[in-house]
Amino acid sequence: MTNITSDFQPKIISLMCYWCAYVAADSAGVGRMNQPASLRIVRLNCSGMADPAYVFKAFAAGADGVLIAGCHPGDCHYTAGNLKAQRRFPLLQALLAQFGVEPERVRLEWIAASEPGKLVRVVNEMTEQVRALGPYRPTREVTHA
Amino acid sequence: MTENQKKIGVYICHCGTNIAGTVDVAAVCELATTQPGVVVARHYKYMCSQPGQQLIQKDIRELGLDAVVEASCTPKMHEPTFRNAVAAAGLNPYQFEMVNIREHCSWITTDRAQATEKAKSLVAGGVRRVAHHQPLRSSRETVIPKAVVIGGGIAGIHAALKLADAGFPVTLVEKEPNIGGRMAQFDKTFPTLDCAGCTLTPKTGEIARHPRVEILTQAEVKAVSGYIGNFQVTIEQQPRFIDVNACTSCGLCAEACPVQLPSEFDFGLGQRKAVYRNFPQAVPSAFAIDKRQTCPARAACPVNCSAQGYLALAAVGKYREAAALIRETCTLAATMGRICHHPCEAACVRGDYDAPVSIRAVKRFIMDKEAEAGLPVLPERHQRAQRVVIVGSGPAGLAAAYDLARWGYGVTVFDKNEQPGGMLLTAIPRYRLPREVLAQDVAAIQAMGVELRMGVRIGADVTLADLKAQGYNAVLLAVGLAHSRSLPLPGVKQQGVLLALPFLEAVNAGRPVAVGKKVIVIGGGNVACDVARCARRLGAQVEMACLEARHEMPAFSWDIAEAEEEGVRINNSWGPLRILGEGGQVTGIELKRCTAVFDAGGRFNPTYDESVTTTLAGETVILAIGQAADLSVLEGSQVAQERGRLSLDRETFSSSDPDVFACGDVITGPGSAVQAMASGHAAARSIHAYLSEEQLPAFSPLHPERKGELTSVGQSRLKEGRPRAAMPTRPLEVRLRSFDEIECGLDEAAVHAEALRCLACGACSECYQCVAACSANAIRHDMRARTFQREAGAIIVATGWDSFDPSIYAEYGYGRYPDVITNMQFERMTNSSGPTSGRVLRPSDGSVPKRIVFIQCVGSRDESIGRPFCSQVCCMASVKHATLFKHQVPDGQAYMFYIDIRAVGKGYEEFVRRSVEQDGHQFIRGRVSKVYDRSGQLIVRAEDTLLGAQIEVEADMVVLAAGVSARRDYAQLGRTLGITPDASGFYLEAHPKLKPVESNVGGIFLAGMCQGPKDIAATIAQAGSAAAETLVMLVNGQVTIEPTIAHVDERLCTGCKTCVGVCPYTAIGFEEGRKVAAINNALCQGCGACAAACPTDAIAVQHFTPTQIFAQIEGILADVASVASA
Repeated sequence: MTNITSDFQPKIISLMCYWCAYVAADSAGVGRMNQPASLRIVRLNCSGMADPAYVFKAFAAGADGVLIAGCHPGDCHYTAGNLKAQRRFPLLQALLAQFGVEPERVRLEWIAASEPGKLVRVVNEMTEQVRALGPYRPTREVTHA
Repeated sequence: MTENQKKIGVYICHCGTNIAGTVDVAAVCELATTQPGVVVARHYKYMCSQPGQQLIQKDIRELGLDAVVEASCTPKMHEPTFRNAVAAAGLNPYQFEMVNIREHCSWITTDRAQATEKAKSLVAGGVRRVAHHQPLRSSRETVIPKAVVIGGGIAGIHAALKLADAGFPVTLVEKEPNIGGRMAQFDKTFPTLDCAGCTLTPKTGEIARHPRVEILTQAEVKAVSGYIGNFQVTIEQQPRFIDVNACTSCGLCAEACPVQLPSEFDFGLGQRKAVYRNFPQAVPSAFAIDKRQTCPARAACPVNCSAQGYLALAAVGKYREAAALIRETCTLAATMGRICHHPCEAACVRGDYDAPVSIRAVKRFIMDKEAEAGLPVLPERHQRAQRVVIVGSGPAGLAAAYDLARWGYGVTVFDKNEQPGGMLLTAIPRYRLPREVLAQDVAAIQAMGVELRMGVRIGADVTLADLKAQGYNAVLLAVGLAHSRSLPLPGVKQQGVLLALPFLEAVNAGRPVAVGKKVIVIGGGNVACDVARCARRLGAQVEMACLEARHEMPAFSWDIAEAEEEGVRINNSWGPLRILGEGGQVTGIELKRCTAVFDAGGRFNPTYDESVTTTLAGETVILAIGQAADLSVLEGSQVAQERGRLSLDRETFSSSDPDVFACGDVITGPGSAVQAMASGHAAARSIHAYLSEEQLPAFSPLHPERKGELTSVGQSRLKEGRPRAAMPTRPLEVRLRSFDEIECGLDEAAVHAEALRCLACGACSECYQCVAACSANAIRHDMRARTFQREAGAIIVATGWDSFDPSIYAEYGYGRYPDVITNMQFERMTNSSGPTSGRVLRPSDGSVPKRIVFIQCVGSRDESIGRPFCSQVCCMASVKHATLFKHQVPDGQAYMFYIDIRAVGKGYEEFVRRSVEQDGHQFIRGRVSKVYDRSGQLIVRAEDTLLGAQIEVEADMVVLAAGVSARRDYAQLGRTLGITPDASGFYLEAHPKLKPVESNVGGIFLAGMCQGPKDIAATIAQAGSAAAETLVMLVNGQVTIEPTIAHVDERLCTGCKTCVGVCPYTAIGFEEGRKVAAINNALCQGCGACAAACPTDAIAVQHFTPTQIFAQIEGILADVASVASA
């Protein structure tokens, strides 16, 4: 067990829609909006493309958290891919809980291209929450939620 | 380790110090060399520069690289640059991965160690990913050589003209009735003080004449499908109600129109009519009618009598026109002013707020005015040879007679009575309908040429066959329900039992009718009420008994209430058991308890409890329990009957004999007079169709269901809060002594006030004065919305802007003080075709202001209301306004409260300086804290931040420099097009520097204010740029389609069709033969919904395959994994 200290820098994989949240992340950078360097963005065309397998893969590979970010409902560049992500999400959460992944480690957020502030807030919040939980260590046991 | 033996090169960009200042690029480079497959890793100051690109190209050629990873800025910026660079060196452009270590890394933290670590892991992810990249080929698609431009302001006009001049057809979609946009509202433009109109109108004229430009006004884009080069655009055009080609713009329609509305074009400073044109040089020059809907009251009327229309005419005192309008649809106009049960009032929208407009009372007044004036104003009568006979002169027969006569038929109405009117004459008591009122309507009908032949019994005196033999081409039976029903009660044959209709007929004819001291009326309908109230006037005590409970009684509530007022006692839920008598003379009636009138199915099927009975004493019992048809008219004809009723085609009103039609109560059952008229109108249309083979469509109301936002007139009238006028009536004791009319009518002042209670729901009132006024015959009140489908290779969005509403700043008093106005209102004032014909005048009293205070940055640069941006044009506009004011009022003084004066365009600073030096405007740096009224004088209080002192300035007028806002409907259009707005609602350009006119959707371009505040010069420059970008596509005729679309691995596909259902583009078909999904490459947009949904991972989006993404995730987390396993 690593010692959980405040300088623990979590690694959060973010599956990001290239049309909205990715642009917000770019804008946050352009605006020099300071944020923890915890986010690792994997660009997707749409949050609807976020296969649950990617989330499992991220945890299996050592991620401490996963953020799926897409366009606000009604604003999907591909009509309704974000709603497909939304519908899958509760199932994904339930499944992850059975594998011992705390719910705070996974989030689905709607972040418009015009919302770099929201992106930074989410990154801050999530980094704090995951930091409090400590590094993710896969358990062998499957727990029933 | 990787199975892949690709040789990978990694290139880290310093981006000057943008990246290298925070990220230890050398360390990242060093890490890259340790990654699997990497044969070379370099870092360089500017990878995007020519030498940087050459560095990569040299390595590809000399080291035989199979794939390249570039770690630098966002791929939104330079991915195409580097793809082209590697392609130029012979590598497939998709054997490339871009890693964002600037926006996502060096720019978000100052912690060098963390930034470097993050950059390392992102680069590692990129290396692992690129190892699995496949060579892909983009496809070429043909571009539809046409464009759609949304917005007909100066940006849209300029762009559309450029495209059209280059030879491509353009559809210009404009929401307003005219093109020209905001520039058409301006007077002069800064900094040259050129006339805006003089610069604009040559362009509007040119585009209107251009053979390749189609202008759709009052139109909006409702849906867009397709993709770059191949868009399908659905455009909805609202009706103008005026034929653009026929209209000669003479303006007589607007002169005739009684409806005044605040002019949106003048920002509420001036008024316009419901039929209007925004400005004299408008293109198209045709007027337009602002009609939002048919007033719901009209829609609820069985004959669709134009309620809002005659209210609007009454409000301006045009009573003759109002009467003529009423007679258009309501043949028995005066009669209906007295007795109509006015379903219009139940539907009147004013009823949703306080009480409905007293529509019937206004109609009565109008028709009384007609009577005073003598003969009615009648429409033109046509001439035809054919002749029609109508049997029955009730409301149905007379309505049909009037219509048919008007359309030119020779019409003869027969009636068995000596006077026309049917039930109106025989059954409706005089205290409700004085006979001279009925006579007024009959005279109008006769004046239309209808011949009345009274006292003739068809069937007995003359048969239908006789009439046909006399050369009549059609017969309309409107005989009503003339028989009163009786009941097979014990004792019903005795002296003193009367039937309702013969009783009323005798009373109405003024014949002496003997009734006992006590009269019992059986029945709960309107006829029963009429009988009871007539009996009261004959001096009897009256009791009514009916089966129904009070709330179930079929009579109108006001009829019941008036009967009770007059002393009629009502016994509810009683059914007659037997009539009591002595020696053949009635002495009373025994009643049994009625427990239910209707059965579970809602049918009339009364049930009784005979153990509960009561007795009413009386010498007269009058049965008012219903009516039946008298079909003796059919004697000697072949017209078929079915169980005592005519068999009839419900659509055409024709009987088994095609020449014989029927209408009114005889076919519908008992109903109101206005319903009978409606039936008569419909039958007349059907007869006309039969005889002339011309279909006259029934009136079709426009959006009658709509209950949206009130019109601005409606809102202000509602605020006035006038109560509904009460109808004055004769006192009760006078009423009971005679058959004189109860209602006395409203006086003219009350009618005027009542007409001004109308909320003008439709804006246009459908009074049709414009139709009469238009000599060009251009008015089309039956126009409806139209939908257009247009295909386009590219779309230019030039939707412009809205003016910020400053009423949010209570301290400025906008909306509270009439002399506090906005810059756009001032602009309209200075425009010679504006509301003051170009004169600067105070809205409060029309006087010339001497001191005007201009307040800058109203709704601009204010974080507290979420508008942090500078509107860019207000400083210059206000300086222009101050100068125009000074030129008009040489002894006037302009004060300008500003934060900074931003005069950044060419010649702008010079303009500001000149105006200060020559016109002496006082510039005061500071924010205004308050505008207030000190005994009639506006005072502006502010801090002069240069003096550091509080100051107050007396102002005759205050002009707020209201900022630029995104269009109110920006979000909706953004969704329709798939383009993204920024936080302020302006559409985002693809790149703030390099792609200022591209949106985030390929093939959709931005021009003008919809992308952000800018002046006219910049708007036109941007429009030209958008046109140039569009032309690149249209001229090339082909666009490159990214190969990042879905691909099916047929070996894995189980044919479950899950993907078919999730695809939003119907891009996935199913091959029935091989039972596998098949992608239509042209339709697929690469969203990946199918890939995520496929249970067997048979579908993947190329360049976003699970293998590639897994590898990227592994790479990003590789260092962690190695720590954990160690």
